Amino acid sequence: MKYLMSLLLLFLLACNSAYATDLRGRIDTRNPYNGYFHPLPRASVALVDVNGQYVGTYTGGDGFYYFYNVPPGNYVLVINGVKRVPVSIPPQQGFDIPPILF
Amino acid sequence: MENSPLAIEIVLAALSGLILVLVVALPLLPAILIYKIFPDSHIKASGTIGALTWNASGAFAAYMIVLGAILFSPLDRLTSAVGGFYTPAWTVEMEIHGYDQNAQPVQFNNIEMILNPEIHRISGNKAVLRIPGLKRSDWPVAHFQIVGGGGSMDVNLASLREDEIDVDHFSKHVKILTPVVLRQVTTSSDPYPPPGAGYLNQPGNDGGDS
Repeated sequence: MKYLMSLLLLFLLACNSAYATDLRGRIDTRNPYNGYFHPLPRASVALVDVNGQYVGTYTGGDGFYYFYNVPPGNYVLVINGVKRVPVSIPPQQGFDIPPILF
Repeated sequence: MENSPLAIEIVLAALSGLILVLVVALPLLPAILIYKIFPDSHIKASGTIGALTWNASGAFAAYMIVLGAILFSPLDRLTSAVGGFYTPAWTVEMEIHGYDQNAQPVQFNNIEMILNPEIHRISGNKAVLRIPGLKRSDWPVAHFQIVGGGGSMDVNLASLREDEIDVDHFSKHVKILTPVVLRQVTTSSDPYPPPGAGYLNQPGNDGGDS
């Protein structure tokens, strides 16, 4: 029985790591004077799970941010510590989060 | 070659103290000599230090003259140089005045400052950063990113462990032993929406607060 339970646990772990995905997204902002949208560099982006655990990064010069090996599930993206946007990560190899307007 | 920042600060503090002792004690030598050799001399000196007017004679006058000579000598520049070790970076401040199309004062929140030449560079597979400041705890986070849809990695320079770096305090050179690993991100085959389209949070429907 213990052997079967160990095998089941290993199988679940393997499934979880196989579905962990790499994420890409972009933060945009709108110029209030001319109305144009443009990527927002150096914005802090935190990916918070349902337990409050989070990983953080910054957007690059092109406004893109990346997260690696993220398990599928429901998360909240926190941009610059003030804007919260819920996202759902599907079980697939790579996933593009649609752009977010800051 | 491994000196801790605390040891360097102790050495700098000792050096500053030594200079202070020299400034106070050095004028005593001619004063003592005059007192010993010419005990009946009639040297007189007077002057003002701030709002204080002073008159001195004999050995004390000699002390004041030599002290004044030292204070206005290149030793003053030496003490400034030692002080410079504490804050090895220059702090340059400037105000930014922004104006809108109607010439009304406005504060912009999206200003970038670009240095030319830049104080950091990437050459081949090597990144070189020049970071002012003595305390490593004040160092920034270096954000590496493949431009145009690649991967990224953050290196928190302030929290690097001793076994992750090779430090030469004399030449102020730090070699990070752990390489920065950048991986190409596997993304979906659909093109990413251009700015202005396909937002996850359209204004008024952002699913959160802003």
